[in-house]
Amino acid sequence: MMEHADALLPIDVPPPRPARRLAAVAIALMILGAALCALALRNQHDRSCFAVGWLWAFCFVVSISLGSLFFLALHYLTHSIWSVVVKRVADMLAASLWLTPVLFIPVALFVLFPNRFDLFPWLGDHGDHEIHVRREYLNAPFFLARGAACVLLWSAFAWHFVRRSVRQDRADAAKSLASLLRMRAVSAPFMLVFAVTLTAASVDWLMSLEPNWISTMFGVYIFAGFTVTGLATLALATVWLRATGRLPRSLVSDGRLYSFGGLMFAFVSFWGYIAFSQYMLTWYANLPEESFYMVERAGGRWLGVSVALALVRFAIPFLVLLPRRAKMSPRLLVATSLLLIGGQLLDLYWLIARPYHSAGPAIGWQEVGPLLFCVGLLGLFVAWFVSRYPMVAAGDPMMEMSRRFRET
Amino acid sequence: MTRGDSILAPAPLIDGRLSPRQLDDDIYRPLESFPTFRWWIAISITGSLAGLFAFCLYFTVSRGIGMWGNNQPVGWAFDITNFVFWIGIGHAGTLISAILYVLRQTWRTSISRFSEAMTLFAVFIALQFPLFHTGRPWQAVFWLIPFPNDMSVYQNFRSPLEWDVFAVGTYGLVSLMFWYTGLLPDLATARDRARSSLARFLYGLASLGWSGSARAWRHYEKAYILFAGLATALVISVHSVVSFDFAVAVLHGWHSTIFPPYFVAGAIFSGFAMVASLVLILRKMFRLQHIVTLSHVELMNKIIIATSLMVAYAYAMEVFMSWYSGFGPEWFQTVTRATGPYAWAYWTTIACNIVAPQFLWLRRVRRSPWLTYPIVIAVNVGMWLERFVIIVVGLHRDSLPSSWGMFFPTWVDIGLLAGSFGVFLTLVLLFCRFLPTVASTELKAVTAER
Amino acid sequence: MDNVAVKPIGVVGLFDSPDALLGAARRFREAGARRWDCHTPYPVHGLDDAMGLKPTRLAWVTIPAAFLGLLAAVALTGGLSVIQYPIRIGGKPLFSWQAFVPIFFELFVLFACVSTMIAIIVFCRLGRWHSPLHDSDVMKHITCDRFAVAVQTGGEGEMSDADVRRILEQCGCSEIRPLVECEE
Repeated sequence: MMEHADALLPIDVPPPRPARRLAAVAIALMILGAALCALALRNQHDRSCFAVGWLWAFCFVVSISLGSLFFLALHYLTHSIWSVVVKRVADMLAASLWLTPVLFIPVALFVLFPNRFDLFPWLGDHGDHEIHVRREYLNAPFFLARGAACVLLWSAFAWHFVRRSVRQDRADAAKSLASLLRMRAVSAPFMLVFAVTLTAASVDWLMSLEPNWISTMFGVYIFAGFTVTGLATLALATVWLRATGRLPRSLVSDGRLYSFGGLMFAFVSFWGYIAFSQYMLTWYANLPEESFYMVERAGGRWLGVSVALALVRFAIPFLVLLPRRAKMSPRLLVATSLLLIGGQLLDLYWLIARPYHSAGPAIGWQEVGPLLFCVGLLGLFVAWFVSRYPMVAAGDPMMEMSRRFRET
Repeated sequence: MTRGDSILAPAPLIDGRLSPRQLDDDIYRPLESFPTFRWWIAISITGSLAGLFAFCLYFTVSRGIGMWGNNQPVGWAFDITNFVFWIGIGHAGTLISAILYVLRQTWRTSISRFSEAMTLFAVFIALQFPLFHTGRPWQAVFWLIPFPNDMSVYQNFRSPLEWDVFAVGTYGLVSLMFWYTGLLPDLATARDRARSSLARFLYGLASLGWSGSARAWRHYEKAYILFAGLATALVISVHSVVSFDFAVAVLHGWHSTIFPPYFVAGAIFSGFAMVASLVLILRKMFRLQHIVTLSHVELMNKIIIATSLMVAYAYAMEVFMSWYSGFGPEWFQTVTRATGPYAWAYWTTIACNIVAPQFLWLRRVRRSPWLTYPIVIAVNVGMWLERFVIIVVGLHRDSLPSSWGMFFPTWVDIGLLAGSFGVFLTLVLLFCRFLPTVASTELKAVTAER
Repeated sequence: MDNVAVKPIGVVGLFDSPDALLGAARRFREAGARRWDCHTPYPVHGLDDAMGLKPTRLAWVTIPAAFLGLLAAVALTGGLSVIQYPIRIGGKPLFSWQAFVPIFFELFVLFACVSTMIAIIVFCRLGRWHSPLHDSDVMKHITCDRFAVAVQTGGEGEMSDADVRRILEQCGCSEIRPLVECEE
């Protein structure tokens, strides 16, 4: 870290302008997705597939937004300097958590009408006496209460951070500072809420799909994946905003991308470590009540998905990001980010779809519909955000310091 | 400077402005002045405890492992508890020197060298326990390391205990090399400051003729980054492997997938507590309060509270999952921990590891050495008991009530535990006497950059 | 120490700040100095470029060594567990890679670190305990707080003492001394 005493030129903040192409593509995706969803609602089989697809798409969008909110809170908690210049990008994606209460409604409907959607095996009367999980915990009202609490808390924290951040743009120095200190103070308790809500959500939405299976590591596994996805989307959005002139190149140099690359590398390694530990411990102890989860996914045609997961989420990005220069190359960073985002979709599919496709991995239009709709909605939100707010958090009191920061 | 700048500025590396020469004078003073009376008193106490350690080991080898209290069903007790405890202590050093280096946390410089040395001593002590548990430590090398032999008999590489040999062996060696690499320029400084020719000769020998050449620095800096990156991954792997000793087993209370990250967080937690409990004394003893400042104490305390919460998360997950699964034996294990004959250990662990550090939320406590001290001591106690609870409680109630039993430590067990602290503190005192406790070269570099 | 002969071999200039040293290093590089080096109490940013030093190749030692370690670990665990001493334990396959991964990883790191340590010693030319800087009585400044340029003079096609002294003076050198070597 080298700091130079010479004065910096004032930043010229590119004013917000509409992203028409992105909006058009997003609306097209949404219309197509909505049409497919509507078609899928017609009969029982399609409806069930649609429910699986919706959960998949919902968790995917949550992983992007929640991963970004975590990044934002970490930025405030650690008094991070380098990331101030990309703070608004994280603001934008974290703000998309406001969509999650809406996107959660269908999940709530799946739980309220188990006979029509048939998603969560612990619901309704399947006559399945094998399930020994606690009904005191997994029941419709409690599930809905937990889910609602999670999405509302996330939205509230996103509101807290993002609103203060955009207000800093026009506030005077003293107010900006007070606001920054307030956000730093809130970031620590947020981490506690984050740990609890993320664990509750991952148990409810993902682990309970195979209710007899438990893994104490599961929350950490989901956290690792969400963080990687958040970082990858942030890197992608940063490069896009820079290419479209919304983020000045003088502010976000290729050198600055190095920090993204470094963090991504760290969390890719972390995911590999967590995923391997969870798998190896289950494999080694070989207790039938828990090893079935891995056996199901390591046999037959599902083996391919598992191997692909290890390659896409760990081996390939690890090797690509290993050299120092790769972490600074925008092209490699974009390619790796796309790969990792694809990896998150694959991972969620691996977690969610296995019980419904025991013969082998399969994907139909019923599952694609919700994904198109949700991704389109996210895209539309991004288009709205960039048309409304500047992408440079010029009012942040740390901006000067961040601009002077040099990657060593 | 406006108000904002002074609040937002990163924590100072040292208090006040010191020239490099003044820094050296302060840092190398303990090496150059004759040891004080207090130092002699301290080392005679710790030395006696180290003697107790040696005596207990002698007793163990000459009379046999039966001198220890572990017996069916509790076949592992103080020995492995001490092993895990000391390995855990050994994690803070590498965390500070490697992970915080990778994260560009320059404040680490004031405490890095000392914690690295602490790591080495802790790993050295940790190794003694499994080594002596073999009963015949002088033969253990053939049992532990794949050594070609007439019988063509080799180790079981699927055994987590064999992984330990590789993990802890690698860790010890890499920590030593990393520490020595960092020490090289400081040894050269010590050499050029030395007044006696013997000291000059010895420091000179150890410094390998370091001359601060620009051609050497360029390789040196790269090597340091590479070491830091590798050590970061290594330090996480080591305690994960230690946790595998338990987690691969099919014993309720031992088999839990969260063990690897949970043990790593716990190791950092206990390691930082140990660093804090020693540094708080040493900075006073050697008059280094302006180099290891209150800001350092505060930052260490922040890491302690963060890792305390991670450990709390792991405790909570274990309890929650054992209940959620509706699987009888798991829940029985949880209930036994909280209400069984070792409930006192469990609740003390919770009080020391989870409750006590919560006071560190208050800035006033974080910045006060006097208020911090009882907390970090509590964490040291709590982390030892945590491993005791995992190991002994997991074993003492087997699946059949007929094979239930209790563990009672013998005086040899207690002597080894107390003695291990003696060995550790003796090594620390010798280190402070003969080697610079602060990375002076790096401190000069980072203060110059600021 | 009376019978020690002192042989002058060049000039050493001491600077009080790294910036002055950087300027001098640039000048000496342009002047085509041959046997010369800068000595600093801590690494100085930009000195490599000023001196025209190539980036280090240390990683070319570490990375291959790391993968060699990985191969060695596969050979060790696989060779001994499958060929040399095959025995089935805990119903696990003979080549149970899942259980060997910890050893793969540890040997990967071990080989990388040991090779890096050796590379430091070789690349930095450590293990030469004698240096003319000691004889010239400047080492104690270098390892404390001052920055030095040492230039050897008098060889074939090398700069003369006078040239070196002139450049040093122009660059704001605070102290100029002869670089000497003691001979018994």
